[in-house]
Amino acid sequence: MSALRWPEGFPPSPSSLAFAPQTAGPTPGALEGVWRGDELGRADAPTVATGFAALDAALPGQGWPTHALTEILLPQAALCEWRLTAPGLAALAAAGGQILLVAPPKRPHAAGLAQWGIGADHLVWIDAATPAERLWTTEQLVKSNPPGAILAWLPQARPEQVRRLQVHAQSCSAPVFLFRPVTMQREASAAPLRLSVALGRDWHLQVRILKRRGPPHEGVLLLRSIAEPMAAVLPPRLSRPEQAIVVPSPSPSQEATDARVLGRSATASLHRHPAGH
Amino acid sequence: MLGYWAALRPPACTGTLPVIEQQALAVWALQFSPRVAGCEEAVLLEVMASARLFGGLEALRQRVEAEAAELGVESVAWAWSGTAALALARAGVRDGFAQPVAALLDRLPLATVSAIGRHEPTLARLGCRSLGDVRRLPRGGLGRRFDKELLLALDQAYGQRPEAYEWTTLPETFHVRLELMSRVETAPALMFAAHRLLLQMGAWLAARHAGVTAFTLRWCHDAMRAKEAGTGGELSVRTAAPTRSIDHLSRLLGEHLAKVELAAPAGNLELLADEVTPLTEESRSLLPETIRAGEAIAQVLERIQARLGKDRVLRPLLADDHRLEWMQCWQPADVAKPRKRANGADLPLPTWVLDEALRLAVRDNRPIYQGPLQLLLGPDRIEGGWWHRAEAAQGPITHHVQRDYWIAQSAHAGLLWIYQQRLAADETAWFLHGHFA
Repeated sequence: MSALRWPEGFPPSPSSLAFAPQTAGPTPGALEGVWRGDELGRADAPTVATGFAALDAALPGQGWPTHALTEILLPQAALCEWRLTAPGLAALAAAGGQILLVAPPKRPHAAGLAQWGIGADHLVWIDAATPAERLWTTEQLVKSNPPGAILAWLPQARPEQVRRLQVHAQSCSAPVFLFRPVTMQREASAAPLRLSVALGRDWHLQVRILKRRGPPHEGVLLLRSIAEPMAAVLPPRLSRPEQAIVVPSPSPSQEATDARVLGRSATASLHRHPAGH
Repeated sequence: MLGYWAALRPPACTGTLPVIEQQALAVWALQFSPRVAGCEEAVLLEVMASARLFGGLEALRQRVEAEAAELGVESVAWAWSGTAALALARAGVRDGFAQPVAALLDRLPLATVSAIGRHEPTLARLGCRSLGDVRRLPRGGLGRRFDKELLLALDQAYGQRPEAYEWTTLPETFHVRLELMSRVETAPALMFAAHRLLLQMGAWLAARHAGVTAFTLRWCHDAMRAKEAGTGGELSVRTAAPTRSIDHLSRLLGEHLAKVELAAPAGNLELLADEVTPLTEESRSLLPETIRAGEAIAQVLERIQARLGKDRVLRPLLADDHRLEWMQCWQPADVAKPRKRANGADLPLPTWVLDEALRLAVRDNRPIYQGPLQLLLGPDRIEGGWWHRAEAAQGPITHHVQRDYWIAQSAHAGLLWIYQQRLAADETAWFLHGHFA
């Protein structure tokens, strides 16, 4: 077999080409658009720190997203919304933003919220009664791009209404939180971040990230959340309330037996309050 | 005097749409320049000196034409002198700068300049059909045979002699009327005509550098109406901060009109500005972070208040009181807050509070709420309020409380703020008063 004869200088070696690239490897700009399947998504908008290190590490962008909705599913309304969001919102309120509440389930207590860092000057409570009013109010607030944050309780929002809010939220630089019941877990939702929160043991919140930009999150995050004045007055034995001493109350039948045996009538004052003063 | 003149001719009658009056159009035009004059049926406006403020002659021209179209004025013409602009407007030519002077004006018929059109029969017998023909006649003969206004108008039209007008002055108060061409049955349908009135009010406010905090829209009922309907009605709208933004005012008015029901079809509309305060708009910024896209939060809250009701958009006011239900007061968002602020408490407080404390059932001498409650911290005795007297249905009462508060934990409802209160005859009862988030 005869080898092909190439003329001198052909094929040219890379170093001889005048226009060969000087650096090896891709340029930094080219890597911006490449996303590996196993890494956490990068947020394309500024984020607000959540105040919990474990939650920050698990969220794309390391904080609550802006220009998008965040959906938080709770087993009950008025259960743990402030314990989860207030550490992050306190910084926004201190910077002069307004925390706008749309149809909260109960009356907010401004003195209690001031203990979480959200002053009374920064709170607005919009008491919308019907679902249509709640959706309209949330939409107007999202479209107006306020400084601060928007928290809306929308128990009866349908998926297409959430999608419409998500479209409007893309131009809103404030974080928008929607609180919905945990029964909506199985429904699809247009919000790019979905969390489900429940009460855990010992002042902890159990947070499951149901949906986020990036690989799905396995497991449960335990976030310890307690207000500053409460932490200041808790005695050390109550740092684990599950293990607090409980005095069991005597059962009525046993008490009656004792009374019959002892020959005197049982009184209600026998019972003491559990877990001490 | 040569300048950049516009002539705006309101249409004589359009049939279905309301027609703006010449005086109202002149007041509207005063926002662009102080040199506005009413001339016969049109309004003349000279804007050369204001061009830089509005971003150039071209931008100003587009803005004037667009806003005039919103008011229903379609016939706008631009020229180098007032008489020429009016002549072009009457002839239907829009742009008087596109071609040289002689070429444009020479073709126009005699009636476009009223001082010349008065002598049209005589000039027609002389063989003059257009302004060019009149211009070619000898000036001496013209001056001897016709009155001096004809030569004056001819010179002014061709820009050879200065013009003098009596400029319109800005009225001190704003009160305009508009007659609707057809009777309007529902209040939201008034919005279209009310929008025109709001445009005029915005122009008047811009000319006075002021903002409005209260205005009133009045409508008069038609003559054919039921006896008990009355002669008309009115609607007053207030805003929290002085503003002259037409968008915000018209949206606010729209929300209010949606709730109004007309007793009879309305025929005439009036708009009055009740409270006017000087307003300085904030100047533009070159820094991107100070530019916010979106309405101001106060205006959004005003609109939401207009739709939902005044007492649905609330802000808190903390009070110096130990009793939980009197510690805060939620007031409508537009009420100004007092300067003195109360200090917060240093003991833990719940973030949700119930309007009425909920009496809890007791099992095994333990209160239950979604499971038996585990009392964690307490008791915190809150006693006070003997000074707080009020009138109730059954007579004067005092809001005196004597309660022992506890922090309790429930298996399903989280941390609760409950209290124990002594009732009559040595009975005690447990009540739930708040939730810790």
